[in-house]
Amino acid sequence: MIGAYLITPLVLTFFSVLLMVVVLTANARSSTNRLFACFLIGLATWGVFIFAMRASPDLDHAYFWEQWFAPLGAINAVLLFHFTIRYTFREVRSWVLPLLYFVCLLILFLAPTGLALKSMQLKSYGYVPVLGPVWYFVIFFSYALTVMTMVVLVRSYRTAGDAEHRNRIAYIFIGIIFMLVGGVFDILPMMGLTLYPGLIVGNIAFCMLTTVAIVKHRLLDIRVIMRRSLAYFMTSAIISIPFLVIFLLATTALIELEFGIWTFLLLLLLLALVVPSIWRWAQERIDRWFYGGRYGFMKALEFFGSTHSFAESGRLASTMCDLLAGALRAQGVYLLLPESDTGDFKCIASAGGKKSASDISLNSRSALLRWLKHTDAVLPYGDIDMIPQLRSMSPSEREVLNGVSASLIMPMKTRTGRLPGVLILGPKLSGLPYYVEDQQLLVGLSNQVATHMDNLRLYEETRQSEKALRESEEKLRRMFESMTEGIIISDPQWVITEVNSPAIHMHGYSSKDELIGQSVFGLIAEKDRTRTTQSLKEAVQEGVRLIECALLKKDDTEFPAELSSAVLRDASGAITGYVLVTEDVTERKQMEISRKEYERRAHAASRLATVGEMAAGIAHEINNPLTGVVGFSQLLIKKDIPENIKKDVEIIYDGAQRVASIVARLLTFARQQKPERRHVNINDILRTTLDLRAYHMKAHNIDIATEFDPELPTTLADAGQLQQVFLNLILNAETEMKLAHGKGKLLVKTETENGIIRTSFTDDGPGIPEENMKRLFEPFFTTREVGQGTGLGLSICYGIVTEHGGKIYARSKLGEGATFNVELPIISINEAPGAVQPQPAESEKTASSRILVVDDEPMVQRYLVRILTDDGHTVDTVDNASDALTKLKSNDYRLIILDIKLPGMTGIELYNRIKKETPSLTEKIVVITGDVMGEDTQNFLSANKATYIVKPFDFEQLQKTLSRALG
Amino acid sequence: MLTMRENFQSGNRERLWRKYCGFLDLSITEFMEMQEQLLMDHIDLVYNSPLANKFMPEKPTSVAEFRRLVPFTTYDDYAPLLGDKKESALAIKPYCWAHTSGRGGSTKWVPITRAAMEHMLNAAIGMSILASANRKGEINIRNGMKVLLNMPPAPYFSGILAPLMIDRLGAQAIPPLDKYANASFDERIQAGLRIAFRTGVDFVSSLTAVMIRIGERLSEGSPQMKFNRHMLHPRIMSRILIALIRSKREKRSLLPKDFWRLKGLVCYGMETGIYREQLIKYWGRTPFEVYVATEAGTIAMQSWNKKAMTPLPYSCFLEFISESEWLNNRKDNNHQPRTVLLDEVKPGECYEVVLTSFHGMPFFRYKLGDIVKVVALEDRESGIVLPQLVFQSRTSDIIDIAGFSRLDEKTIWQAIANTGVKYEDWCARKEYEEDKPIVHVYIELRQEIPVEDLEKAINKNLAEIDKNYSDLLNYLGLRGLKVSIIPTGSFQKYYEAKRKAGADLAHLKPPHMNPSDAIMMELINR
Repeated sequence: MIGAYLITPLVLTFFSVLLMVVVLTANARSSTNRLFACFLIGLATWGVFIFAMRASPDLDHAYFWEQWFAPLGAINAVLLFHFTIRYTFREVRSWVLPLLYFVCLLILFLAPTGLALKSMQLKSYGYVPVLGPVWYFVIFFSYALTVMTMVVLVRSYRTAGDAEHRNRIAYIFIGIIFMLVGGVFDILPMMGLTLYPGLIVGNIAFCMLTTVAIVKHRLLDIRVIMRRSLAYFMTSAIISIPFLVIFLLATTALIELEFGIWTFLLLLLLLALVVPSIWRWAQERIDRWFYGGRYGFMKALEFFGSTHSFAESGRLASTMCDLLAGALRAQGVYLLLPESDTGDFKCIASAGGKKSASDISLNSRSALLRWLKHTDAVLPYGDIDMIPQLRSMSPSEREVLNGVSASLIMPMKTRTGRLPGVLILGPKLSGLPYYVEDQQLLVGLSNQVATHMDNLRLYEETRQSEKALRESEEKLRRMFESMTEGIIISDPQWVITEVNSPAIHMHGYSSKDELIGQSVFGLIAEKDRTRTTQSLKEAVQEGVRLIECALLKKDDTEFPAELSSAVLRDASGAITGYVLVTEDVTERKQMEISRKEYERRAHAASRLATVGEMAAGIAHEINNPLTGVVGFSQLLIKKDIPENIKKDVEIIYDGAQRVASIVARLLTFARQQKPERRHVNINDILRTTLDLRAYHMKAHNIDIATEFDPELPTTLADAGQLQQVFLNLILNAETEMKLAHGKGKLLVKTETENGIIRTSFTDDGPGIPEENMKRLFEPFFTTREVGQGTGLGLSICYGIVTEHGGKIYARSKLGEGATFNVELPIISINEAPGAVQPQPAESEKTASSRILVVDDEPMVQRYLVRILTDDGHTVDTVDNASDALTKLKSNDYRLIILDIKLPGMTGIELYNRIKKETPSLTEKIVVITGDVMGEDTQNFLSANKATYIVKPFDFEQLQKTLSRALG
Repeated sequence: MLTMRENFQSGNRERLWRKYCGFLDLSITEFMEMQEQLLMDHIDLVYNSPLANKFMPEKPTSVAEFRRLVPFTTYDDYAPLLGDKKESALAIKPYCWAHTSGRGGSTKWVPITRAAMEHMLNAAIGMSILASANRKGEINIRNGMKVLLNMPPAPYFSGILAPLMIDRLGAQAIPPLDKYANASFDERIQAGLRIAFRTGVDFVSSLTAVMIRIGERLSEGSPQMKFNRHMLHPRIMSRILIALIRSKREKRSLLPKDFWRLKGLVCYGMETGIYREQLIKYWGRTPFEVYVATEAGTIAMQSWNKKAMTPLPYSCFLEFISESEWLNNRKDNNHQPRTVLLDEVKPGECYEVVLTSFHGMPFFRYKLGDIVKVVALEDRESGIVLPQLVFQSRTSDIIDIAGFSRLDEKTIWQAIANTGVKYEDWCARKEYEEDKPIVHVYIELRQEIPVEDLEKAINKNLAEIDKNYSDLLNYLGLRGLKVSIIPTGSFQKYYEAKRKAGADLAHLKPPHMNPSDAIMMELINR
């Protein structure tokens, strides 16, 4: 008992100092904490003084220490009161506290005077003071103050809105009751009753209860780590009890035994062996005490937090919610996870609660989520209004939280700061608040689960990636196989490792195994191997390059191909192989040749069309003056002029006729002249044409052979134009053979094939150089000397044949003669579009008439006037349509010679005007034109059946036409 | 949710501070995020209302779109609906209708929603905490504290808010609000003062002019203080005695601060800054300034150091028109000024405030007609990282002289106040003298001083305060100011006449700036 008598004050001191350190460490700047620390210092001092008093060797020493108890007791009472009013924010008159401290000071001064403590006396358990009058006042003062403190606490308890705060107050209150009761046990012995002093025990109880309040109810906002330490301290304190017992035994009972020391050591050894078990037992007891009925759930949660695996992930969320609801006795637990597409947090699992989980969601823009991403702490619902960042929470967010009666909102954060989920807890079933331990549990668990959720997300993402990769691989495989190009993959040594089906077929193999293992270069034709190998190696160095080469099939046949290659590298950039893309271009090459041929033809046609337009324009311009030259030179020839001059004029006339002929051919070439198509027999036309040249051929030692198809069908064609074509080809062959070796052999052949009639002219002339082959049908292309040819012959042939829907081409090898083929379609349509033909005019002398000549060309005007006047006609001339109309209104003409091309109103427009105003006059109109082949002119003549004469015309032609018109 | 009273009782000051003053700790990013969130929520809330449709034919989906689609508005745009209190035009049935003053004698009715009122109330409590604090986190207000209210009564916004705030704080209003509900403003001031002598005052919320006037009366009257029967009350006697001791100890005349040791002094009115030193001298406490508009609530308020004001993120969406844009718009009405947001403002620049109310209130891109100056982008002293504002003037109260100097009410008021001359009141307007523009100040004095001397003094002060005005004098040689002293009692007579005519409290006095010819005739002829 003596041991306990001495030790208990030291225990009090220890407890008090420990608590003081905790309180000041938590917040040394808080005046409330400081006040409480002061009170604890008072308690500690009290403990020290009591120990000193109790351990005193005599009454005098005991008296020395005991005399300070009165002021210490008063000061402690005042400090407790001061702390309480500060802690509860109760207000007291401003003079109250100074007065109380003043009283303490007074007592302190009175303490050494003997008014407080008369002397000390010895009792069975130790020293006991003999009280003086001031002591009674001190007792009254301290008790009164303590009662006041309790009143303040009761009032605060009643008004406290926070249940946790009420609990804290309750713990302090109960602690004070312990102190009061203990105090009674201290006072009564002083008054003569034989009781063991109990204030020390009461104070220890106060400290213990305060510790519980700190640990369980966050008294004075002591941090978690402090409270944990205190919890361990309590465990240690429990463990220390057997040690103390052994120590007491060793110092009292065992010391007198013979084997006392051995017994003591044995007991210590036994204790050391059982301490771990005792520790675990004590820890479990404390945990059970803290957690009560939730202990089982806590343990389950701890187990759950450390053992879940991916296989359990499906149940993870709901199991966690269930366990949490059980462990925390929550009305509802909701787990919200983000949706991958919207980022909105949706409830995926819940336990308890009234609201359907599917109704609970937080928008990704939510102010709450934004805030939770930046915090690791549990957010009590009541704190939402305390956080300025959450003042922008939308009513809908609040509605969600209110809907689940949210009490706690827990961000589930990973170590990297991600927020993979949010836990929302409804209120406790008991209505009590969530304690710090609950929140602590939540934080610990949610961090674990958050990490697991994050791992799950990563796992899921990896799975998705793998799936995507597989799909991608499959897609690539399909693409690889479905490509029309052959793809060959090789290793860095160009040994084939993979090929697709087109490549297998392209090279004439039946399976990829036949190709795998071969060298890529072995697939290249011998002739191209060196070049292609070099190109491939360069290509992989420089980038993709298209290489044309011949590749080999399995049977060693070659085929043209295009090859491109690319390098395959690994992540480090090292070459792991090559990809070759091969394409069989046989078909394309053929198509290319055809395409080039078509292009060439199109080019030629285009040039011909351009030249044709130009030729038509030139022809018109030339025809007008040519009419004068032909006409006047003819007139001169008919005159009686000297013979030498007449011969000169004849040369002029012949020359002019030759020009007229060239112009006519130009117009034909320009395809202005529509073919007059009838059913014709090509064989007949050929015979007629050959007959025309038969004499000349024979004269130049040229043999003609014919192989006419007797069954050759007729076709729709212009016989004259075809004759022109054939004649041209015969003449060309004749000339070439004559020039080459002064003789020759010409084979003319007709045959039918696939709906066409092919006529071929094969000579044994010098042949056509390859470079000339492409240009044969170009206008003005000639190999003859200047003056020997116009270069228009074959172009005209090309135009005529094309106009007939056929084609003309040549085949030749230099030195082996040439063959010209004319292919015409077989057309069985009987009707052919009509074409206007100049109607042959009969030459006869006509009676004198009045004639109007409308032509803007002075030379033509003069020529007409001359001839018509010579024939006895009266001739008026005008050079424009309006003058003509004037003349027509004022005179009666027998004949009107009208040029189609007039400045201003054209001849056609004038004709139409006359037709409209005086239709009968149109019968008297003879149209002259240098452009009879023009489309407009053709249409006009055809529509009006007008009599016309083509420039350049000579005297006879004119007279015939006029006779017919006037007749 | 714990009420303020409960919070005080439970004593969690940190929570209280965070709740009511936590906006001071926001970063500009957080501020802008909150503004965006609240604006978009507000649009969702009001979009379908007829009033909102008037300005938002399409629903904006972003802040940028909102700023592009919605035109600027003034009260004239709302007057046809709000003037008649047409609740059917609103998105939410208002909790109450508040009255606020308008120029030219017109009044403005503003519907206030319950949510907005809650925010306004929170801001008012924050204001009380900050007004009484000397350092961050300090809360000096207590349950049962006595608050002297010298504010216009309901239906003015201050009159609606006061009882709610008093209740929320668990404070005691002086004079009691229910007892003096029907008393005139003057009667309430007098009654408040009388009661304050007996009960004491912890906190004052008042119009600045009233506090200055009370200070002047008490300090001027102290030498001739005569006992009357009211002083026989022991509390009053003890208060006077203590005040006398205090004043004698400091060897000066009695001042209000000798009678009452205030924990907080909240002052309303642009002259607060002008009379800051005088208010400190009289009341022993630095006045706390706030920028409040009935249309939106508290837009900005000072922090515990009582320097520039920090904007609140949850009252309204704030946009700012720069001075140059504002001037361009003033020159050319067709010019659509560009606005900037709070994270784009520049220190030292003046801006016209454009606000969009939150919480279902009806105002969109509303030009309040106020110009504020951004004095800094942060307050390093107090660790606030939001732009710091001071109220500069009202857009309609600017007198432009030759396009060179723009004088506002605050500048002229400061120039007059700096002369130290005692005056009753004043007004100023732009007039022409020999075809040259001048600022003509009409002032009623309470002391004799030659008009030339006064004009010189005001002119000198104006030049000191406004550099442009100084340049006007120095470089252009223009005389920009004319002062006329108007007969004693002119303002009082005007005030009496208006009161008899039943004018609204806000229109009892002539406006300081640019009063109309009719007002001037009425003021001078009387």
